[in-house]
Amino acid sequence: MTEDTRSLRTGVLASAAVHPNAPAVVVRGQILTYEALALRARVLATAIVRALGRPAARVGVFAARSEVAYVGTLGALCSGAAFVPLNPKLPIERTRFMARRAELDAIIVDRDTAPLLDAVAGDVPVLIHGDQPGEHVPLDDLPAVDPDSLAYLLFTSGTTGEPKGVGITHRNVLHYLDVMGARYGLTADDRCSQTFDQTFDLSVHDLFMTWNAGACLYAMAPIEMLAPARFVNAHQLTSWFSVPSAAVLARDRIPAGSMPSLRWSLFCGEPLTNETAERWQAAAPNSTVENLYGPTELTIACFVYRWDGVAHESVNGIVPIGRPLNGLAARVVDEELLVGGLQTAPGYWRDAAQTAGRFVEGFYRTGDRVMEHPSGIYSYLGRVDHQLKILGFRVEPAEIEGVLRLQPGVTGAVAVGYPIAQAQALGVVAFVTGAVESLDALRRAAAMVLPTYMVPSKIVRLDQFPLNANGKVDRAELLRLAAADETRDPIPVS
Amino acid sequence: MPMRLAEVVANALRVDPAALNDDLEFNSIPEWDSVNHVALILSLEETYGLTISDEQIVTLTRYRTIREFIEAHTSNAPALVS
Repeated sequence: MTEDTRSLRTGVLASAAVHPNAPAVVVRGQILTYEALALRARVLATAIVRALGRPAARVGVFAARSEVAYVGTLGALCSGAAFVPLNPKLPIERTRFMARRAELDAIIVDRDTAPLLDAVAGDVPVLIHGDQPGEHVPLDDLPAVDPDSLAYLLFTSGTTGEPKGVGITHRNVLHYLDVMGARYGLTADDRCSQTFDQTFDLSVHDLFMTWNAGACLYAMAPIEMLAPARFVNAHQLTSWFSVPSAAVLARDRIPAGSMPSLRWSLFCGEPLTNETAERWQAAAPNSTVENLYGPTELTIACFVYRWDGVAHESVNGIVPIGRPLNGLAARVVDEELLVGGLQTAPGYWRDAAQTAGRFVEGFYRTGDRVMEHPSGIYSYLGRVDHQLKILGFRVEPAEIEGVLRLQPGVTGAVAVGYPIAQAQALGVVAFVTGAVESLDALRRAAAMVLPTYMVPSKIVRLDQFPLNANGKVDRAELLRLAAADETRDPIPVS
Repeated sequence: MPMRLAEVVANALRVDPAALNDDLEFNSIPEWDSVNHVALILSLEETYGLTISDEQIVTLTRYRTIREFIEAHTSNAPALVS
């Protein structure tokens, strides 16, 4: 074997060499050891490289909460490729778009997604069933990886009406893993939650922070997240990482002291309220609660704040986002946060125009409004635009509006986050103008192309949009209309 | 008069009661998501005076299971429930 330049796969393969028989991941009740994870990944890599006749550049992993979802991710990296997570929960049209846009060399599927493969594959040359990749020896001499090549490519909601790709390099993600690895000091004895869909970049923290430490990852089904204490206790988890919404939804099911095994409680993806942090801290009294912050473009998270029960710099009842990680630089221009350094992505995938607009002189413009306190701690204030976070998912209302405007009769469309609980939107309500025959049909059409969390729970037809003093659509007034239209709230807002 | 189960479920999930059937389950329709599942569990607890455990919240994921659970845990006759 030739010596392998360090890349995202390196830490996992090292753990597999040191702890071959330790569990790497528990998914749907099945335990996958490090040895099995590495072996199966190398077999997939052989299957991909042989079929292509060369190392791969990008490999789609079309699988969720299955052994293949994890083996496939490592397998893609072992084939020399960036992994591109594809999610069966998304509308098939959206997945097909991503597969085409990513110019995949191969797609790996699991049992559940195999029947959907034809619908997404297009002209992708290599299609592999992750459970039955064929008779291959494990790939021994792994293709070399340039540290500045992509480790993964994800798609986020885009303002132009279609998802946009964000590619993260090995150098980007290794910096994050080094800094956070030192911060959390996980060991082979740790047991870590896996709450995030793999199409959400925070899952990269889950997989590789855990595997670099030789620890074990516990994949949670969405329904299990509604009763976190049950899962934490069943598996004696030591580390929790989720969106704050998970804690909000489970608020009545996490009594004080209910999760004593946790050492770390990490939240990211949307604002964390003081109340949620307090409640979780009481439920997991032996853990340190931290609030992480960062868009996909800055590699998982780029700021962190340690909650110690009193957030002096708290603004609007929201836990501060803290300070930039070591090695990153922050600037505030007209309240907008810009972050530069080793975690700044090279740009948007195959989109020079959007890249030029957001990546400026080595800094990424987050679109988030912040303030820096004299202590050096930063607080999140809101957005400079209309971007929403729904249950942690990033949503551009413009993308929803673009889809609605394509429908017959629709002349105008505006989407707003509604209802709001704990400072967070739980869904979307849309308003349209034009000669729309059936609002139901309009909603169904949106559901064909948008992920569930982006589909408006309600569409209301207006003769015209309310305008504010500047002549722009008055979104605040639309929110009032949405509220007036409701007879009740789905969950108690306190 | 106590609400029929179908109305309770349909209200919580924000769907037409006519859309309900025994095989409807969590995540099988966009409306039955995590947010509405929590609303549904709260509604069931309030309407029928029950306490639903963590173990039950993760297993009451199908309309049939919920119907059978409510029948078993209330004094309501099945006719009233369904």
